[in-house]
Amino acid sequence: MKKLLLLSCVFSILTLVSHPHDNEQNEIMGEISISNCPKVVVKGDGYNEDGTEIMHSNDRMAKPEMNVIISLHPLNFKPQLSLTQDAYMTQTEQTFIPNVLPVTVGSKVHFLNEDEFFHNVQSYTPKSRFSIGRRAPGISYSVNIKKVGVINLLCDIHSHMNARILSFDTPYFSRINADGSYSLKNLPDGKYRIEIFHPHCDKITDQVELLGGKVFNFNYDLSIKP
Amino acid sequence: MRLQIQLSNVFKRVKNSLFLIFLFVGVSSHLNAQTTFKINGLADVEISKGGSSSHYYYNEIDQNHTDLRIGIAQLNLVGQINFGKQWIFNTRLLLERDKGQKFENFVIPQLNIQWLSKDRKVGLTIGSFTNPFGSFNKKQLSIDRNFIGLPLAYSFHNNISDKIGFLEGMGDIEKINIDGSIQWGTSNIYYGGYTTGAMFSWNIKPSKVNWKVALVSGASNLQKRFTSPLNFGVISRLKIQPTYFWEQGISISHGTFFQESEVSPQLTDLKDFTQTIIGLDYKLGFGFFEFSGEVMGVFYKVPEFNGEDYLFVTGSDTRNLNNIAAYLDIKYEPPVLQGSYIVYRIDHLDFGKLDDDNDPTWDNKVLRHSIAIGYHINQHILARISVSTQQVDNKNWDKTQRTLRVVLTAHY
Repeated sequence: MKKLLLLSCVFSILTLVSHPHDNEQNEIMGEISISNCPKVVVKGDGYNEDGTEIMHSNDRMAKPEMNVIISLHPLNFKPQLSLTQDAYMTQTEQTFIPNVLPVTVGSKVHFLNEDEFFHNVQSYTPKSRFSIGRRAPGISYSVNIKKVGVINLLCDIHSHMNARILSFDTPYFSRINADGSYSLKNLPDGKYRIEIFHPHCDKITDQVELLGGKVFNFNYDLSIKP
Repeated sequence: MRLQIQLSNVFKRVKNSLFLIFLFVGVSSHLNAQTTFKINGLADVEISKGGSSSHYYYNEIDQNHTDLRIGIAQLNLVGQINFGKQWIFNTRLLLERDKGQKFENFVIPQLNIQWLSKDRKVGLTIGSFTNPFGSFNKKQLSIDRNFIGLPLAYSFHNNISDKIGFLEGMGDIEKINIDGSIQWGTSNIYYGGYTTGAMFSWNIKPSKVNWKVALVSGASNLQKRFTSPLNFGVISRLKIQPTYFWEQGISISHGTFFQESEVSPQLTDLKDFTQTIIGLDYKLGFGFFEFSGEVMGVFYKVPEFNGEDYLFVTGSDTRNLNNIAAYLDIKYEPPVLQGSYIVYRIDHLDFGKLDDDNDPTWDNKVLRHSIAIGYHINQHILARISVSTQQVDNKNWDKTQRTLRVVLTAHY
């Protein structure tokens, strides 16, 4: 019995050492600079339509620099996921807003047509194919996001419209601020893969270890892979 | 050997064109730091079979390829250079089957530069651009089309030629050889869908009212970019959106199209002969349904040709001939199979009387039914199968111009 108790104590200690300590909450912050993006040659919108018939929204959330997402993916523990609430993507002036929408997998994304004409939302991404059909202005339509990864969105009525949903199996993600700064709090001790997604640049990945309830500073340049 | 020479000519033309475009791209990239390049490619591989009386000018199936045929039908390279936000250079290189025959016809249908005002409300385009008439011309790439074939107004050749004017039974009965080629007439609107000149675009109320007017090098049925004599045309379209589910277009086209030929010296002024089109196009959508189509009245002022003595008929200087063309597409996208659709088209071409009500019509009425099923295998591959049958009044080849076409479109 004593041996069993001793073994149990040793096992508990080992578990505490090898797993993150719930009370140790870390924070990371830093800056993302974009020195060599976007690409000069990009995929076109298909048929070259008369420019006066193509609308582009000036909304700040349509701009690429406002659609950079940083995410931390735990490597040695499984985080608890909660569904992303109020995940809205609008179609305004023939533009998806925001252009990149991060959510946790299983969340519902609500599409809202704010134009005075029809829009559609299509995805041909494998395992996440859907079409919401032509949707009238002012009516929202929800889609349950079941796949982890990037889900590319199109409007088949307006071929120049495109956007992405980033579906994560981690709760640790954030949109980068307009000045390039970011901050993520309440990160348990552990090893993480950092991913930085930009709609027009190559994705950056890095691996870090956060320990001891500290504040860590990581800066990245989207033109240079670490 | 002949094929080798033809192919080498095609490759030479493609190479020269690409060289010029890349030179332009290279120079422009140094001119403006904000320059961006957009590129798309598209290829169609087609399996086709036509009824025994098929002809490219009647159902787009070449008469020598009515049996099961497989091959590349077209290759496209679409390019756009944006010099900042106000200047845009557009081009499209196309290698396609020459009138449904050999895969050797290289053309640059789109080559233009467009200036846009800062708010993109006003634009000016110069060069070769999409004919602004109607709604179908905008569907230049096959991925934008419900069907593989074109509507009758864009493909069915009627009894009016740009060299000899009106002749009953032109092509299939009357084989009139002018300048070395048999006259088959023309379709109401050139199937290529492009025209050359200058176009003014005005987005009067964004998404609600858009107006375009173009001064171009001829009527909408003109197939050549540069003609002799130089022709002239005006084409305009007003697009309005009465409500969110309804897009309505009103178009007009007027211009000359007659060409110099071995018989044209018989005529005093080739610019007397004109084509005028008034058209309505519409698109209505509800959920997974879409109704779209066009109706157009086409009016010709042309001379009449006598095929026996190769002389234009004197006495009646010009004939005023007209036809009505209309089609309706009914499309449904089943939500249970995302990326798929089924579409039905009813397409009609009706010709007016020659002189008075007791006379026969100047060409034969055509009624075509088509069904197509399409499926986007993924974002870059579209598969379509389409069948059609057409009824042509008073022709012994009535109902023998059925078509079966299967196309796999790869696009980037």
